[in-house]
Amino acid sequence: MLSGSKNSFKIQQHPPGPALRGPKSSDMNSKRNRNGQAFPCIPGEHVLEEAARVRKIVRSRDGEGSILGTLYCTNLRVAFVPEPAPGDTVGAPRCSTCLHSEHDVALPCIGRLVAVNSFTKAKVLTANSTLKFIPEELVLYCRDFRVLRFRFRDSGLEPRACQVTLAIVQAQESSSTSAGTWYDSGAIRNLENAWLSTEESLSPPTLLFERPCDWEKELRRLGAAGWRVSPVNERFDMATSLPKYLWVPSRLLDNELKRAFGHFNARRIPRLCWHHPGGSDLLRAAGFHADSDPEKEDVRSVEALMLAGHAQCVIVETAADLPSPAEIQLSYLKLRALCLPDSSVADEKWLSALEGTRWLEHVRACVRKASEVAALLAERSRSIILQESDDRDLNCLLASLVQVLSDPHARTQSGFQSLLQKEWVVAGHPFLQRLNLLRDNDREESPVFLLFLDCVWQLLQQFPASFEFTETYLVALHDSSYIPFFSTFLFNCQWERDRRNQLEAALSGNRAVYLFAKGALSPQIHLFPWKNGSLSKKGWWRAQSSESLSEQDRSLRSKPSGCPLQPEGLLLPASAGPLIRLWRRCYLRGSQEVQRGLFASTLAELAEELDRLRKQLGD
Amino acid sequence: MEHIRMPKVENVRLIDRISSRKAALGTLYLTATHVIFVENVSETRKETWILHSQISSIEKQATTVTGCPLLIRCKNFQIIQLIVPQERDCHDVYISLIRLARPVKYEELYCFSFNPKLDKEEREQGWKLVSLNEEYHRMGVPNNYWQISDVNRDYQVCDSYPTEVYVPESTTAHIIVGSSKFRSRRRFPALSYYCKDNNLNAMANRAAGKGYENEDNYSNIKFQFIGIENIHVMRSSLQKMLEVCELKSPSMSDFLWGLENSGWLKHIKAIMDAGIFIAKAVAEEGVSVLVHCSDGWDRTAQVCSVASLLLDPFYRTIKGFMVLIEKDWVSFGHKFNHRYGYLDGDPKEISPVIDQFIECIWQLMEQFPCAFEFNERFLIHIQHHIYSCQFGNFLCNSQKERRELKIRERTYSLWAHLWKNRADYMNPLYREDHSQTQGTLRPQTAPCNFLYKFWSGMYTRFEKGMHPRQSVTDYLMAVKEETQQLEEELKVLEQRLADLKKVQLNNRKENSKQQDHNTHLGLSTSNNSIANTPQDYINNVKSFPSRSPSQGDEEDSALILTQDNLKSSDPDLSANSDQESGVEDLSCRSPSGGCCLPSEDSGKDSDEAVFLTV
Repeated sequence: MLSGSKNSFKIQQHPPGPALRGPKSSDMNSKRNRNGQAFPCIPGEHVLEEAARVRKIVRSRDGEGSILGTLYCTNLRVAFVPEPAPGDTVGAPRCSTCLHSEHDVALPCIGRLVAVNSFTKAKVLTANSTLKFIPEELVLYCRDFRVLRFRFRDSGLEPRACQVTLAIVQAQESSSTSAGTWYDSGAIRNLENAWLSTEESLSPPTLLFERPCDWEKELRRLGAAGWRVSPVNERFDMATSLPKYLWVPSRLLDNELKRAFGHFNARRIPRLCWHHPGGSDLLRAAGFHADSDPEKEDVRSVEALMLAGHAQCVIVETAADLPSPAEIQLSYLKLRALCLPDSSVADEKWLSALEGTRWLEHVRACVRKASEVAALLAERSRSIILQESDDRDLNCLLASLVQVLSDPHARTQSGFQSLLQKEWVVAGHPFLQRLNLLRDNDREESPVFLLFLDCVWQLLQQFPASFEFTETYLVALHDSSYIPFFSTFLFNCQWERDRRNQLEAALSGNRAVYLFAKGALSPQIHLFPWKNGSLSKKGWWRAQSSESLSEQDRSLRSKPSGCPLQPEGLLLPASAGPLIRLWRRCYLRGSQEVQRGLFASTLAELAEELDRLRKQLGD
Repeated sequence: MEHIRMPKVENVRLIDRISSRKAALGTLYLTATHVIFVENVSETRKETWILHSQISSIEKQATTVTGCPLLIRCKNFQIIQLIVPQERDCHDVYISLIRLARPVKYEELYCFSFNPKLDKEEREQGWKLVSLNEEYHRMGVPNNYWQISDVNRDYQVCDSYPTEVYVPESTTAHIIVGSSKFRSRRRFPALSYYCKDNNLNAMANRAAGKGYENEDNYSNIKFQFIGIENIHVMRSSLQKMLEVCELKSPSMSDFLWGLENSGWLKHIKAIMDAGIFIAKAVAEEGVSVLVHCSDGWDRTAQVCSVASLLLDPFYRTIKGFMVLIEKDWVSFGHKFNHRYGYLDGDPKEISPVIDQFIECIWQLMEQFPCAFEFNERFLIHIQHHIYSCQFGNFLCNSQKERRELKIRERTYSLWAHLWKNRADYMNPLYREDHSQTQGTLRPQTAPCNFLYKFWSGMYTRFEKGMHPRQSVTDYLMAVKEETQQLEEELKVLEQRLADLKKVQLNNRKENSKQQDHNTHLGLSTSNNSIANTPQDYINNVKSFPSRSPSQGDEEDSALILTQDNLKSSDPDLSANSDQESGVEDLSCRSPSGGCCLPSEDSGKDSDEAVFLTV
């Protein structure tokens, strides 16, 4: 259960009944501090260090203020518990089951730690650094765009300040080296089980796509008659990064299917993502494995797989027009620096600095490409294959974004979550590498998933009435990806998830990219890179890059009425510059001023409203 | 029609700005008041209407094989691109429009021919809707501190001020006249807003004086300089921003660089900050504030009205906002004619002064979504009508001129028109009893780009595919209205149930033997399908009684739509399905008589900052 708070999000146990709460609270192994206040640990969590009477700096309309409380460092997070104000009759709701509140930050979510003392320069702390002064202030730059500031009393003479600071540095460091055990710590499994059990009571449930019945169920919903669920990869012996079950054409037997695997990078063959009610099929696949030497039979299998019974097959080069994961990361780092409250960019240069991050341009490219693919799907019955070299990053993004545009079910909460499971989690998006929660390889870090959430947010702005969920939900999803309390984002693929502790990167993949001549849906004669890759006389087309589309084609694609197969609820977003906006609520989290207007009510306002309603009841 | 060289041109193409291939073929008509394009497609005969007074520039571009392109830019930010097959026709249309778009006398303006079919009394009632006497009374003046002065009766002291002004109680006519002599255009200090909540002698005040006040002349005062740029800087800033909006498919960098280089948001912030500063001084420090710029009719009006709106929740209601514009802008001599170019005049006098004020309010609405009774559409329609000259409210440069022209007898009031359609302008999130709506609004003063956004709903509202496809406000309004309907129905049914029970009881008592024949009284409920999902509302919104924009026949609701519904600048005309006759009707009306009022002000707006004295 996700609920928004003032500038952060609480992921709270959903209370479906008293049954869940009971055992939980008794599990709490609370540790009492000097004031006799208990710190509500979650199972498996223990307090490493604490400092009382610390001030958390908060900015408000009246300038800078602070809250007095105790700062804790545990093996899982840094937490701040405010002292109850004298005469605090409201008894501010301190939900003990909060995994994440505006005062807490999970260790892997801490991006940078800075110790400040007025006599020396601010110091960025790492595990190797020594602290030569007692800090007056500790600043935590979080990876979810928050900035937490804690000020110690006695202006730099508080001995506990040093201890708690160093403890945080150590804990953060060890959290990354031992984070393989995140999932094994009973805490997470307990929480997840509790969460899943509540999930079951919700209808309709999220499909996790771990069992064949989920695949069958979804295939029925799509009404994809010519397709079946193949268990060919059930033991991950065909491809480790693919899901256990695949949607393949019914007429293709498993032993024919097996011929295809070897000819795609990382053996990620084309398989169905979504079936358009009008007949078109959306598939995704990795690039062709150029060095494989297919037999004629093999090529026939590959062809059958790609055409999927259609007369026309369009191949969409996913990487064309879209940023690479490395570019996304670079852009993201710039964006994060720009959005920090202490960013040094002058006000009048802010927009060009924003442009300089290229982030919005990337968002725009994704939205644009997805709507083109969605229009192609609706145009006439054909198969469309999204092909990305390793099929694990932008293919996840594009495949799911196209479905959000085309399928109203994907715009419900359970539909969206099922979509994330299908196209990201079990499809093998390397979350562990991309989010880099372990800090073991900075080079692979790239917030592809965040870019996707931003794209969905843009759609939410343009089509507010078409989504069951809100912006708050998207922010919560984003936040959750940086909290390793759920296993959803803890693995690189289903195979790893099944093996739990396997943390080595699964594959780096053959990054060979095949460049094809560009032309608006240019017919392809030499599609395959192989010498003996013969082709049937069917229609093979390649989708052209959107930026070079002729005016005529663009108008064709941007005009919904030009799509005879248009299902109810196809969204074709506009992607002109002025309409792509900055997701302020997510990125400008450090700025209280911005957040105030964006949230419907503050706690005080809610309390006031409660009073008013009570009075009305009394009348 | 002396100025119309070419009343009708056939086979003209209206270019779709997103895709030039999708041009619509049709006929172009020039009338005394409008340019009208009627598409040839027989089923729809889609019409595009443009008021001459909305035209800000006409550009004849180089002839191509397809014909001669004509680009019309409008003051409400619409851009029309036509291709006329014959160069000669195009030239005639061009020459005609240049003249039509720049009338030389007020009588040529649309408001003198616009007739909403109201009788004399209704017209008078309309003009009485917004009363400044009532407003000063509401503020609590006259009182011990402030009195009404008749010193400006017959505009003797200051011809750009209203006849009735409020001045401090102790001031004599002598002092006022004396004070007026060393101020620009004799615009002496007069009351703008009196803060009655504050029992101290606290008020926002307006005044003007070219240059700046000499501090030595006063005691117990504090100066505060606030850097708001002059009208020329603002004009070119808007121009730069509109250039970005005009791009066919602006990329991210086109847009962000263009927006930054225009400096527009920076200027908006400067005005807001000044307003916030004054509101704070009045509300929190309880001091009097004297606001002045060079002439006291541009920046002073902006800043005073923003401050008043922050201080007083009344100005955040539909009626209150009309009063505010009437008080701070219309009555105190904001030079509408010069700034918005109603008559042919000095182009250097034109500047989007009130546009900026309107945008400030929109920016505030974004920050305080529950604090305003009205919605974005209300602001957009006011902006449209400031330029449309369909109503007489804003004509001329001062109250004096308006009286001389007998505006109230010869034209209609916009406020009455908006008030009649107020259901369209309601903000469904407005909550009268909410803390946001009470007392002073305290906006943030964070960095500019963190708070202020590009107002796509205003500046690109005619771009197909630019504005968001779904309006949350409309859905909310529809939901709200449906709820209301259902509640009313519930009441009726409950009442009925109670009645039935009574009848039944009586029957049993009085006529226990008789069979119960009341059963045929069965309930007849209206056939309301209940919408459960937002998707349901997509369809329902159209059929809802709320005047959602899709109903487009009402003249105003069409404003925020694309060209499709733009035919409607005149309800009479849009009701007329026969195009030809409607057009001829209009072209008979020929403006005549009257003389051009000379531009009474050379208007060299100096570059000094506005400053405030506390």
